[in-house]
Amino acid sequence: MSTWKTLFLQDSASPLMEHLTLFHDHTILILILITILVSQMLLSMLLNKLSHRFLLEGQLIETIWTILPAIILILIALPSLRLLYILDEINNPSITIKIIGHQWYWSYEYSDYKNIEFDSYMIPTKELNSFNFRLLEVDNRTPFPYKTQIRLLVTSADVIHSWTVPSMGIKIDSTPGRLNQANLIANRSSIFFGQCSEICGANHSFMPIILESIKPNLFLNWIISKT
Amino acid sequence: MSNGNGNDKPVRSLEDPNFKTCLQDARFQNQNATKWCFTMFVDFHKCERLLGEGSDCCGQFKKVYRAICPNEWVQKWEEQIEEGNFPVDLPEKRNK
Ligand SMILES: [Cu+2]
Repeated sequence: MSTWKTLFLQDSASPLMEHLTLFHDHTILILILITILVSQMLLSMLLNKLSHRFLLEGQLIETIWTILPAIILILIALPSLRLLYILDEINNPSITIKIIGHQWYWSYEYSDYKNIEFDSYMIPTKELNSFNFRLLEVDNRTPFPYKTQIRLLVTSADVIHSWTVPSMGIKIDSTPGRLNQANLIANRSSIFFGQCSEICGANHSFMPIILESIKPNLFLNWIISKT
Repeated sequence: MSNGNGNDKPVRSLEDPNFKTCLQDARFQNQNATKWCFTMFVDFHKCERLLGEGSDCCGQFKKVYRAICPNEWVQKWEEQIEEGNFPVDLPEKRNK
């Protein structure tokens, strides 16, 4: 269901997404200021009688409106670059999760300790309970411990997919023949939803992702209980 | 519940070195980890052929490639080694 909140970024659950949200707000603020300034100028141009016969040039104002945009661009570019490098960092992970995109489901492999593999298919609408989310529910959720550094390795078995979880600030291409590395950490226990974000064929819309962040020892129990 | 290290104690925490995944490798710092995975796989097989199968020294390579390589890739490469069309020249197998 579409609500007003879908217009905004999702509530963040990882430090990376906090940063991304702050950067988004910072940039949007600058954008709004520029839009207001430009509309004010346009409006005053339209409503002006232009009756100043001797106004042909203004060195000072021209210098200012050349330099000012450059400064504004720097104010956007520097935090953006900083964030880019922070997002790239892998901080001594405790577990590795391998994610493989297929037409049209995701499969996951945990092979640090044992070799655990499972597929994660969407639950079709007619099998849903009344409290489930349509097109977002999967049969096998992906558990991981919260407040733990996790290495994600994303690849594909057929075409390009994109593994995306907005509240975690992760969107990473799943490309056949290539392994992409990303970092995942959750602040709290919760369930996070995502969808494939690269048009990958007929059922592109029907390969959702559910991450379930749980207590580390519950996660260990899950690993141990798996055969 | 063997983990290749010969240590079969039950794990208690995610920080347990037996449970913990491999560290980042300073030689492979890219987001693209394809080459890291492949190199580790090749190194393991070179190691086993030079030092003999089941050598303790090769365990680390195996741990890394098992942790980071998709199982499907490993399967494919092992088949290629079996059939003799693996793209990297490996040393001759040591006779025991
Ligand atoms: Cu897809």
